[in-house]
Amino acid sequence: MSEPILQMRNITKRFPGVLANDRICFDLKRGEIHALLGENGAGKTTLMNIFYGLYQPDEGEIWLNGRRVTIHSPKDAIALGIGMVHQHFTLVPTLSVTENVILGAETAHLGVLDLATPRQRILQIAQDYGLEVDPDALVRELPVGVQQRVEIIKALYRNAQVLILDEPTAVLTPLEVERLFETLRTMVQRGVSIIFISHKLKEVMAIADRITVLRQGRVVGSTTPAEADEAKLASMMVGRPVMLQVEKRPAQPGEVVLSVRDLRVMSDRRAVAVDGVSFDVRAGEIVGIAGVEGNGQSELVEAITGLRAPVHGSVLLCGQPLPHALPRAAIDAGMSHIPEDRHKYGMVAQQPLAVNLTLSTFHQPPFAQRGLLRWTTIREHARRLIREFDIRAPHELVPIAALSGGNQQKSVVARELSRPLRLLVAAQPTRGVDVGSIEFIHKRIVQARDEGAAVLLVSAELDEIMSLSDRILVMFKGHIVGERDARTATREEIGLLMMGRVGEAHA
Amino acid sequence: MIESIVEVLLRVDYLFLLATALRASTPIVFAALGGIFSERSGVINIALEGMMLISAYVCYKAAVLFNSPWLGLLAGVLSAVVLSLLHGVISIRYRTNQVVSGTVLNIFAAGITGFLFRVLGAQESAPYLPNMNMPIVRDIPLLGNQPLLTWVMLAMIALSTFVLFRTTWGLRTRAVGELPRAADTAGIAVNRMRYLNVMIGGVMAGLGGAFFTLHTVSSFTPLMTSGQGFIGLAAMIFGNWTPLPALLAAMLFTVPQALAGQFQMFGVPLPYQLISTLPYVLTIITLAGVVRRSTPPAALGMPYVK
Ligand SMILES: Nc1ncnc2c1ncn2[C@@H]1O[C@H](COP(=O)(O)OP(=O)(O)OP(=O)(O)O)[C@@H](O)[C@H]1O
Ligand SMILES: [Mg+2]
Repeated sequence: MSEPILQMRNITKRFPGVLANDRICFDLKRGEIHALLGENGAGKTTLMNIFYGLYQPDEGEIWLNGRRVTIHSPKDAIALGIGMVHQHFTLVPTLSVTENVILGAETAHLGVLDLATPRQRILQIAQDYGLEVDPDALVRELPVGVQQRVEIIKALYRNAQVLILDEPTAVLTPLEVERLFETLRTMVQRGVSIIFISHKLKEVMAIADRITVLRQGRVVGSTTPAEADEAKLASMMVGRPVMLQVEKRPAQPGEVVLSVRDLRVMSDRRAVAVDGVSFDVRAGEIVGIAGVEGNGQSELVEAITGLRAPVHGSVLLCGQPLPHALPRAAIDAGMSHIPEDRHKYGMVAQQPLAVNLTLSTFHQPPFAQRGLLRWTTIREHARRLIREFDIRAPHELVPIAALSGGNQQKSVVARELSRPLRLLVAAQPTRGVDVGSIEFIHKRIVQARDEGAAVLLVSAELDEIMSLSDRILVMFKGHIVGERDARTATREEIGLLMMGRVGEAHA
Repeated sequence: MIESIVEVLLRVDYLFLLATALRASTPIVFAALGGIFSERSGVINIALEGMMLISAYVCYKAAVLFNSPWLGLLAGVLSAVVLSLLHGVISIRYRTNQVVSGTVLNIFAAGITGFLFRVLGAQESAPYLPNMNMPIVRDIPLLGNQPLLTWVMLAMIALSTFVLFRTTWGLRTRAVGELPRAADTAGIAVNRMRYLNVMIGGVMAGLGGAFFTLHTVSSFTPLMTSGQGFIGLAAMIFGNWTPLPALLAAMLFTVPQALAGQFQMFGVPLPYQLISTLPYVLTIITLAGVVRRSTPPAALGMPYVK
């Protein structure tokens, strides 16, 4: 920990209507883990994309190893020993792990690929850093946790000396996060320096040597885990004190709104993902479904919201059976859905924000009349939601793809919470969202409950489940293996149930 | 009538039938290969039909002019490459809808060749490219005495398969067509890869076009490619964007075609018009059944913007 390996001096970057980075100074010492914190849209990803050559800064200098460098493209960055694991993965699903790793840095003889040598090296790297992976597997068959290992191997394979990790833990289970941290510590011991971006303050406190906070494109300050605590970090980020705990009154459950009866759903790979699940959600309560990702929660949610036809069983909304696989029917019956994968089901990336904010109801008055869209109303509605939900966007007509990840999520949440609803199905509602917005989204979900909606919450974040739910169901291998009252349940108990250890959890 | 069909089926020389079908598959497979390179890199290419037509015309004219089928071939391929470059500029650089660009180029090709045909005519016959009829070679079953370009087509299938799946070029091409952002962050110049692959498509279409005027008939008639570029695209889809299956898919079209020819020769009492629609009907049926199961490159048709 001595001289800085990297110095970014007065970096400024403007997008149309947005000052994404405003004279940012940032440095990284050799063998250090430097965390970058900040609200959604604070400019973290932009700054890192500049460092990785994806964007050119409008002003400012980058110094690497004491020399000033200009980074025109990722190719330059790679040559300078910079690696980046992007917020949205950059792996080709149809290619194998080995092919993905070597892409752009292939070993070849007269253009003919040599796959055997890289394969050996990948196995070696995997062993050295605890990044277990099958080099011959196709990427599309791997769970996200393993895909991330592939991303890291990709950087190490190119001998990265500086590794940027942009929200690497957003999609990981707690166990996978532990593993990732071990890997990062090994890397640091071997002289790699790491920039770590995350919205999870606990993680930042656990792994970082130093922490720098951005707000609205500027550096607010730097600190260390020893000097700071979560509350302090949160208020540095947001500029005001943040409630890290959810405040809510005891639930007052009313009549049954959603009942799921003996539901069986198949996964994409034609395995039974949900196996004979039954439960009810009443008006005015939040039922949380806890579970390690991949235990059938996604398929369950898709079946309830009409995105996937179950092979057996039924879904009833206020006593009426919902037709299978007909999302429009679910919407018209008063169901709102915050999907876990916003890119796949939540938004149309190249369409304007305003359109995305009315996606599920654009065909109804007041947004449409006699088959024609009413743009003035749609835009007014969008402006109102942007204000109310604090979505950071230059105006309502930018394509939603131009928003930062967290702001895209907030847009989806805003849309789904802004119409009269009887049932809210919220899957990972705060994925990739900053602490201030988590607080806000949680408040709005509780508010929906208090106004009489039934809420089904699915989350891989145990903290979120524990603090938001009134009742907790635990899902394991397609079954509901336990139900607990949220006021009396303990983390340990739920944790055991999540691993299928039902017997021990009863004790 | 049923009896006479059965009788013909018993009398047909199947080896001859296959050889005929293989020969007829030549331009279709070239179009399919052109489509494979272009689309694997992410650029829809329905202009192959037009590229073949232009090449057919230029091959003919240049072969007559220089009195050499070889120079004709060279000129024809070059003309198709120029057209493919145009398609690249329109759809990669200017990000115009790729189907629109392809359609426009097809109309252009049909127009310009038709116009030149009227103005300049096509009376002289062009010198032929050789058939593979050297001693020994001509006796190889199926392959003997086939047009040179049919051999080239078979060689191209092997070469394309190798290039796509065993070389750096192929790996990068597939990455660019599936997830250009991944290729970009790995330091690969996405648009450059796309241009070059679209131009490889042009070379293939050029070779396919040559088959019409330097092998089949030694003259040019307007619209003589008669939709074979599109059938090539169907074969590409049917073959799931891989070379050898594309050949088999093309045979699904050309075998019934050859059979239809035999029916006619033996005088099966079915109207000729009906028999000759058979291959097209078969193509529609098979495509309708298969398209659902084949998966196009994920970034197909989408211009890359950082
Ligand atoms: N390509 C782009 N075009 C236009 N505006 C952009 C683009 N990329 C980012 N922005 C804007 O720049 C600002 C900073 O975005 P950035 O993605 O860097 O935020 P972030 O700190 O990474 O947020 P998050 O935590 O949500 O990922 C945002 O206001 C965003 O809308
Ligand atoms: Mg970001």
